Amino acid sequence: MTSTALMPDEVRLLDADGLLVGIIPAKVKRVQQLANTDTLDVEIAGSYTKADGTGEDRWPLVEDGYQILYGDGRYLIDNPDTDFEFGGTMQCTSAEVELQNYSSNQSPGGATYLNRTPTQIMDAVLAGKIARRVRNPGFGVLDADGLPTNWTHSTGWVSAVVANRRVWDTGGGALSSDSDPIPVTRGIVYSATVECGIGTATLGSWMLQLVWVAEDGTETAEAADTRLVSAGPGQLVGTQFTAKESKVRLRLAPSDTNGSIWFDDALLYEHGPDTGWTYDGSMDSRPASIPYSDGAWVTYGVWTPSTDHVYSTAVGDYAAHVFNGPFVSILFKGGGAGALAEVRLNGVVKETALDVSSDTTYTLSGLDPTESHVLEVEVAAVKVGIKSLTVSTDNLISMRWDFITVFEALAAVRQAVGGELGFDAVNRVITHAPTIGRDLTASNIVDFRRGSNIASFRRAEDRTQIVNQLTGLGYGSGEYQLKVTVDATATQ
Amino acid sequence: MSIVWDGTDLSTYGFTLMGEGSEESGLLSLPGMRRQVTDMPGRAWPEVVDLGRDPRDIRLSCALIATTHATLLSYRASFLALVSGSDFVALTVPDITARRLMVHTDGEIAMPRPELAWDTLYLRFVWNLKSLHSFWEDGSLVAVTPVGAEITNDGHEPCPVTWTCTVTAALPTGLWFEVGGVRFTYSGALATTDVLVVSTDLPAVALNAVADMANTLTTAEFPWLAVGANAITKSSSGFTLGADYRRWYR
Repeated sequence: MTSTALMPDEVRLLDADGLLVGIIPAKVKRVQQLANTDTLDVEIAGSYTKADGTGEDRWPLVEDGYQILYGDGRYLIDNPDTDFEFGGTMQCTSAEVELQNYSSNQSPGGATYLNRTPTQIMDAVLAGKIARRVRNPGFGVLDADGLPTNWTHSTGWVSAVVANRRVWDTGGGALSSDSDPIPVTRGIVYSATVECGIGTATLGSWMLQLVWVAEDGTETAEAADTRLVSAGPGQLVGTQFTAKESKVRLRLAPSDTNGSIWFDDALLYEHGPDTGWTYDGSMDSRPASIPYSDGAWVTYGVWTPSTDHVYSTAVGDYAAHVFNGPFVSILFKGGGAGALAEVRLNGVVKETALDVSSDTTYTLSGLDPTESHVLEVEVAAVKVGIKSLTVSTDNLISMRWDFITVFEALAAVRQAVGGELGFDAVNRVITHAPTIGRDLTASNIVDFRRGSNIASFRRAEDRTQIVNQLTGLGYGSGEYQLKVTVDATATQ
Repeated sequence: MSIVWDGTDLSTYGFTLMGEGSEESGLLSLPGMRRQVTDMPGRAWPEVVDLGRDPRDIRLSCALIATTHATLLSYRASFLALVSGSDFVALTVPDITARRLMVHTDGEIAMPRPELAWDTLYLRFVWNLKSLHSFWEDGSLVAVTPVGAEITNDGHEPCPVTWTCTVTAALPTGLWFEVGGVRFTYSGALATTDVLVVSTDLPAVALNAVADMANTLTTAEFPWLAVGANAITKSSSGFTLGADYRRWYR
């Protein structure tokens, strides 16, 4: 019945850089909100009497932009309300709201993350790496010659399939391939990355270069970044450069190779300030199997569900599904003698009379993982039954933002994959739980009942908005929209 | 019986305790516990939370006695000037040797008007005092330098300590020391002869007498001395650790 409570408590005052400034005994009221940011009311004395009888005033330690540590959280001081005679109170907000101070964009035009894992997107956003749109970044969109669109075709280069992915292979040649010019903004910092793989080469290196394109077409190349073939396949991360012109090309090239090497997944980033936060989540995988009963199937005609598949016997009936990833396998249920299926991908006919008389697995690979694909299966003869699709287990999602805060960007990713985000404001780590909340009554942990074990139950629904960066968007659209950003100074 | 107030023996002013039973209280009594009591529907008894022990309220029955009326008036003026401050000062009484209580005068001191009786040689009055906290403490600082493997606190309560780290060999990554598992960590570079003073009462850190919290780890704790033996460990032999404290007694 009798317990000992530590009152008053203490808060640890940090400056804007996170350095300890002082430790202040305080009365603290903490409001935890299930779907919002926690808040604190901190009451501080005007003066503290020490054991030797002398007094010390700790209010002067509190400055604008300071933060406090309390319990297992870090909080930003919003509104210090000082009474220099008797002390005062500080309203504080859990520090994840500092992510509102960062923007999803550094320049006009959408921040574009196409078919990336949530962790890749989260990591980029939190690090201030803002993905810009590159046309045909995965080299999966091919022209009539079977070569990637939006990239220059140098002699010898070929489109190839490696482990279910479509890549841009040098074919052993020594020349380079450039992307179409991409709009950029002068003064903003850019860098690029590209995935590198080895064909037949045993020597040499991969090369990645930013080439600024002036209005008159003059090109200025930055120093190239290289990755040695001897280092093995992997990602080549380019140096950051400040844009000198309003367009840039990505230049890919082999360097002193004695055979073929290949490139995939070319990405362009612009760089803003690093938030200092990291992501430790679990949203990157999904079930490989898409069953016949999946709600995203779109059917035309009469498709009849059976025990483990769905089927149609009417020629011309078709079933379609949108998916992403580098490959898809269709598991057909045997339709009996003469059963044939037509398979289309992105509107292109891949098979006109695939024999599906018995259980059959048909795979389409080399697909561009940065694009979504439409698969259509049509009854060509007798009967076609579909048991399931198999896709990669990478939980690829696409996001595009135009000037929202990082806080809102994180919420958008969460909305795309479900679950809830947790914020460890002390260590600046964001975690993800696949389900929202926890059913404590089901776990027989706690059950609150008015009149039984609750004396008072109060919820505050007020949150102070922190704005220290204003962005004005003006005339124009897309990459050509006018934009002005004004930063606050002297505070975080 | 002599009472010493902030180093001044009050008998200098003819002060004496009358000490008549119920007129005097607080010096040796155990102060009450401050509690929060909350009625909880559905429970047969209220929930009780201990908030801490009250400071001592001390009531003394006293007199100033002089051999002449003029001296008495002088005593009265000097005494009132001495005890009227608002700061907490050390009070020692003969019955409780080598210990002190931090007190200040609480409320008014009601004295009769001796001027009316020209031959009055004494003044009786009641003197109320309020203590800073409820504990008697050592009259003199206990200084342990250097600290060994443990310090024993044979007081009745945990007590704050001023720890002094004197650096004898350069410590580029700072230092830590642990008292009964509670660790203080300073992460700044320290040079030979640097002196780091860590106050644990109202936490503060000073390097060579200049406040220096910025290099203190945000998770650093400021160890008090628990009652009984306190094991001491430190990060390096490159510094000596000293402790100054006053034990607390009920």
